[in-house]
Amino acid sequence: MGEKATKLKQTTNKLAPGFIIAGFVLLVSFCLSSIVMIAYVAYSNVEGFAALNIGMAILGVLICATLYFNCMRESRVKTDYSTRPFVIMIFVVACSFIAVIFFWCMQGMPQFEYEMVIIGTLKNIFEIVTSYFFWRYVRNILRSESKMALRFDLFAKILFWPSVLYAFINIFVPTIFYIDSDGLYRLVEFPDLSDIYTIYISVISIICLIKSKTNARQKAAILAFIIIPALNYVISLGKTLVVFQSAATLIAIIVMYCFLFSEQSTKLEVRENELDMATDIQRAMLPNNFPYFTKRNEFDIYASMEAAREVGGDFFDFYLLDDDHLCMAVGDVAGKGVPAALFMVSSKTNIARFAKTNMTPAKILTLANKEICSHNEKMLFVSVWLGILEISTGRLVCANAGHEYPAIMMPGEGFEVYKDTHGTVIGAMEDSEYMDYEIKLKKGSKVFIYTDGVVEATNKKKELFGQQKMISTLNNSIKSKPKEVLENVRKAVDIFADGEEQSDDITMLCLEYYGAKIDDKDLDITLEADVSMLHEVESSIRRKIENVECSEPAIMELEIVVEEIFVNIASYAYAPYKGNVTIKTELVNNNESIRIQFIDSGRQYNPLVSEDPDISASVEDRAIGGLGIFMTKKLVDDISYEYKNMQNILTIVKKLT
Amino acid sequence: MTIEKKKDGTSLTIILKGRLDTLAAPAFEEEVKKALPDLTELVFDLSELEYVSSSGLRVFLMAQKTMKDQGNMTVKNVSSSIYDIMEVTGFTNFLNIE
Repeated sequence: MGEKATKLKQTTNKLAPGFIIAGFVLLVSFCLSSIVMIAYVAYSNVEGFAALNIGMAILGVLICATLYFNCMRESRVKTDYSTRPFVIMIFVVACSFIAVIFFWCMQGMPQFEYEMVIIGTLKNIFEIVTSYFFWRYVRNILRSESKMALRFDLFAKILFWPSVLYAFINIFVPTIFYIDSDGLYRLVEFPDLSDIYTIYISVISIICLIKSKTNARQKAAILAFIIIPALNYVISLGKTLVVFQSAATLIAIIVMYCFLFSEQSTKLEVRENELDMATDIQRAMLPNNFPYFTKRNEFDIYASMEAAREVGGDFFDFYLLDDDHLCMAVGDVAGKGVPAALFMVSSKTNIARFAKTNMTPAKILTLANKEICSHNEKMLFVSVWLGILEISTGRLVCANAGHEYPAIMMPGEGFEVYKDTHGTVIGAMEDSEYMDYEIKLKKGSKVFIYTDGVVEATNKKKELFGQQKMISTLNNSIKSKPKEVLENVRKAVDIFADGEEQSDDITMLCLEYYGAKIDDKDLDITLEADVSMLHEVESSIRRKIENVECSEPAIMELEIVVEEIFVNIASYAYAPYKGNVTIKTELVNNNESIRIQFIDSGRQYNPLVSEDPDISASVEDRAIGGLGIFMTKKLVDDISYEYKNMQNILTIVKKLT
Repeated sequence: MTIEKKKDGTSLTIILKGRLDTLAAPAFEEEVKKALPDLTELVFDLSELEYVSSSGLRVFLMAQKTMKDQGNMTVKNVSSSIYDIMEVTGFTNFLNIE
């Protein structure tokens, strides 16, 4: 699109609402002047009067048509069902104006009495229908589900039919109007009961309006349609002159239209759409494609952020820095909504940037803080907890910038709040310093990080959820996986809040540590069956149980067993020649026991059949030999032997705790 | 493993530090055999002994057999794990453990 065309498009967009307002002003001036004219000149002149009414009605049809087509052009009319009744109203009003045109064309011609009665009746019915759709519009906008509103609605539906019937009967019996012998429109003496429907609709609309929380713009639109015709009614003292009525209805419709489709309301609509888009963008910025790291069996991580408004100021983030380090961050920007969300994005990005340069959490926070403070004119700040886990050892190094204390669970114990040292929140002071602290995670440890949206969730009595409740919720389902942990806490908060609106963003992160990966390839070693290789065998066994939970005595006993068996094979299997031995290791029973197999191709020997030394013997009688095998048998939980394919296969199983 | 000896006349205290496994046992046996003649009191301080296997225990057995005729032998500051090993092997029956 060329520049000229774009400029033209812009100017026409600016013109459109201006055009409507100008047209409106013109119409009002015309109506007022015609009213004055009637009062002074045309009141008793039938033809003049009729001409005025017809002119007014023609204008009415034209304006309704314009508004109708403008409405249909607005894309949201197709999706926003609340404005549909309004569009139908415009249509029905236009129909009643058309009826007015025909009616007043025939005025003063008694030969058309029958036709006039029918058209006049139609016009009255159209007015009742307009009232009904006006009420439908009010219901859609105000969206009240109260018993009162529902009862009003019921009556509006019920009363509709008698009112229509009453107007319809006019064809046969003059209930509202009649055509006199001169062919002129005359109102019936007693009160117009069909007006009752309109009055009823107006009254219930006003009541619902007063009780509703909808915005001023919508309220004004509804009021316009009630007040303007009502004013007209008052001014003409009950004898609504058709021209006044037409003018009043028209003005009301135009005012409603302006309130609904003005530039400002479109802007608001656009802004709401943009906020919806922002919510989706923000959701996509935080890790949201769980489960993550499925190929890593050393840990499991789950996190969630639920914003109080469309966009939130909380964040969480985690990423692998390298094969052995997992970085996790949770943050809470002071405030909520769009400003907090923007600051959140900036903080999260800054922290990630420094985290990926191989520094400790304290240093990362210090540098991120300096960077954020350097362009923080709005003086926002964010609390952050940052932790880096060394996966192979379970060492978790953390730093805390004014954030809620983490909750840590060690295997066999419950969750406890870990009172770490707090640095200042990020963004407050440029030279803030932070301190690292270390937690050694063991197999089965869990870490739970959260923002104050959890502990400060309120219920109707203004009580806080609190840290204690959170800890007991965590401890109530101690075996849960990280995803369930988060679900349990969220459920508990929801039950506690009991319908009270969420006032702050709720963010949680849970990590469960399973211990270092035991690489299957390492588990078998083959080496020369020589006593000098003993230390190598011992260190290989020690490596395998490095990250498994073991008791100190069990470790020593295991080493003794391995030594005794190995030394035995080394000393006797191949002597005086040399040979190899294969040692296969496996962790079994959920890493509670270790199973080791010694395989050699030396002389066939079953250690289980050797005789145990007499351990109760006195020192003189005590024999020197047989001790090693005996110790092996006593210090393992299971031992078995097999001679297969010319190989001695000795298998032991020992509990590690 | 390191072996520290404190001699006082015919009394000898041997302090073992480290691990007494099959590779360390021969040197230990040599030291003890050298020191045994004319000894009336032999004390093994195992406060810093982290580990003992059958080879090491055999040296204690050999020393006890000799000292029974010569004088006293005491094994002191035994850790609970090593005590358990000695108990399983019946060594607590004849060793004087403090």
